[in-house]
Amino acid sequence: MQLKIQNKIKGPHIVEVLSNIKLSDDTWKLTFQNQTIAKTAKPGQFISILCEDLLLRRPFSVANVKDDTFEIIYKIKGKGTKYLSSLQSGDSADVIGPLGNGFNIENKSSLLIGCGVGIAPINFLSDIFGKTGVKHTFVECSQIALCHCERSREPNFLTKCQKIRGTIHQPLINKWIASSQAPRNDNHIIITEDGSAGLEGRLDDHLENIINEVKPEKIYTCGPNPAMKYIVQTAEKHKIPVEVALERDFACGTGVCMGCVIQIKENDTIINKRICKDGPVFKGNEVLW
Amino acid sequence: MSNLIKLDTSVNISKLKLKNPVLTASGTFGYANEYDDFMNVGNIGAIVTKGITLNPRTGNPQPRIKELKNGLINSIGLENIGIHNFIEKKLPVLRENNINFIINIAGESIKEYVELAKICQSNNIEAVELNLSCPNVKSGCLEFGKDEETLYKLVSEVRNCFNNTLIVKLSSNVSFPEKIAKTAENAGADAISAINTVKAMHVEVKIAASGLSPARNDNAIFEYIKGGLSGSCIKPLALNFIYEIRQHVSIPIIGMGGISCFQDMLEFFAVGADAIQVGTANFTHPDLSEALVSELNNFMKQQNYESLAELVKDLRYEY
Repeated sequence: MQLKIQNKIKGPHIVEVLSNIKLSDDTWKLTFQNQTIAKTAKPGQFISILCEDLLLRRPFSVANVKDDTFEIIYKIKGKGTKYLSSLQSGDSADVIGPLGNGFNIENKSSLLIGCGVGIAPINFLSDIFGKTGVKHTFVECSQIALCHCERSREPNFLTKCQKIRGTIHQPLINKWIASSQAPRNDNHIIITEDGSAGLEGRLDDHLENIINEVKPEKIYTCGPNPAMKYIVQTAEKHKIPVEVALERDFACGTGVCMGCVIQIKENDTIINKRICKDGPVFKGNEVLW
Repeated sequence: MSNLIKLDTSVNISKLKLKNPVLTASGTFGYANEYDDFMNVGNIGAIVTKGITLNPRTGNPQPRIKELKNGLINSIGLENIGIHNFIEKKLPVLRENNINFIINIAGESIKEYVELAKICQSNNIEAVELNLSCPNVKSGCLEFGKDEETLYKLVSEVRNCFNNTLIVKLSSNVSFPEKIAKTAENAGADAISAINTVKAMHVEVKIAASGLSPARNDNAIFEYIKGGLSGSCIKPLALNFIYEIRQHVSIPIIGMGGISCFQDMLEFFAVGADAIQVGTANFTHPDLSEALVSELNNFMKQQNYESLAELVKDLRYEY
């Protein structure tokens, strides 16, 4: 017997914009007020926003929730994100969600890697791990520092990161944790391509070192496909399971149109899975990249 | 007093009785109650299921969708769970939740259509929509809907083994819509639904700063997708198609093609539709079909219409 599902729980919700903050030249953080989404969203899930003059909604990972509010992080790429950047405190937006399945949260020492705007769901996951006391290290990779996390806003944080530029130095990392005011038990490593904060370079310059240093039992990641593919391949060498959060253009975002399917290897057979409904979180080693 | 009169929004498509004329189009609404997350699926006239084939299909490779300014090109390629999985897993959900539904079936041969229709008959399915116009599969479908002789053979053979409401879904990619529609009627169709998506292509030429030639071997310079176009840009084609066939057939017509608001729905009634299907707009406004039902009710109340039939009669464009 199928359980009767309560209708209309996923919207459309008309949500109020609380703030819209520029994090870097093209990346923004938008905070909305909505109790239903804030109370039910899990890291890895997404919401889909109706954008002015566009036929289709635009999907965004939930980047965090706090009380009755939730955040998204977006990079201005086209008309939809341009519209989002025009929203101001007090405006409203038409949102459906939370949609899709989130990460499978386990009490295992974890390495969380967010690349570019893929930092969004990883930031949320890091927060949940922090609150629930799951040991984890958060690696934030971007072209330039996004500085969106509460902790990275601390005045001395970037200076501290810069001190260890170029190498992972565990005693220093331990020092930051000891000196941090934030009640979190994680490490937070920033990698920027230009070295403007944290370690200079790209993820592939540092990943092996980080894995050897942190010795995670599990890796969670979101970012561009090539980065995630690289992470999965590297983790395989260390026999560490990876969960990836994928993205693709969606038509419906709700699992009915079959527009976003990817091939997944499950028990030696290749099957189609919908990123929006069966994902966006998948086991890294099952994805045919 | 007039407020106490129950509004009659019902419409009959042959033997199929619908409580209202708002349906959702195949491929935009899943198989059953998927949209319960956003609305009460039981409140609309009927859902039309995703196109179902005899065996499960994995569909076409990516890219499958392309958003345009006022439309959407899709090339899903009829990915679906197959009729047997549908009967086993989805049919009970539809029946338990009292959802009115029409099964959209697609075959690669007349034999396959007949087999699908027999399965529907043996499971007491109230209504079937024959997908004769999917532009995204290599064989079958669209070809059947183009040629009058094959269409007649197909529809009459399906008719012989299916006693309930038989709807034939047509494409506008034909030279003489009225001949095709008349053929379907003569072969025993109870109703026509139209239009399916329109064959279309999107091309993206990327010009590098260095010009075209250095990147001549780079595939990315030329991206394209061929598929079926839907959305508000096809509404004028749909209205014209329905207007043309209305004058030649007497069976009910279920109109669709770019309906995204109440006004659109009235336009389809005006040119000859008896009921409508909401398609692509479901993706943008997943509760649109339910909203159209309540707008229809409000409109009828305001304008003192007691039945949908009266409203449609007043809307009909005189030929």
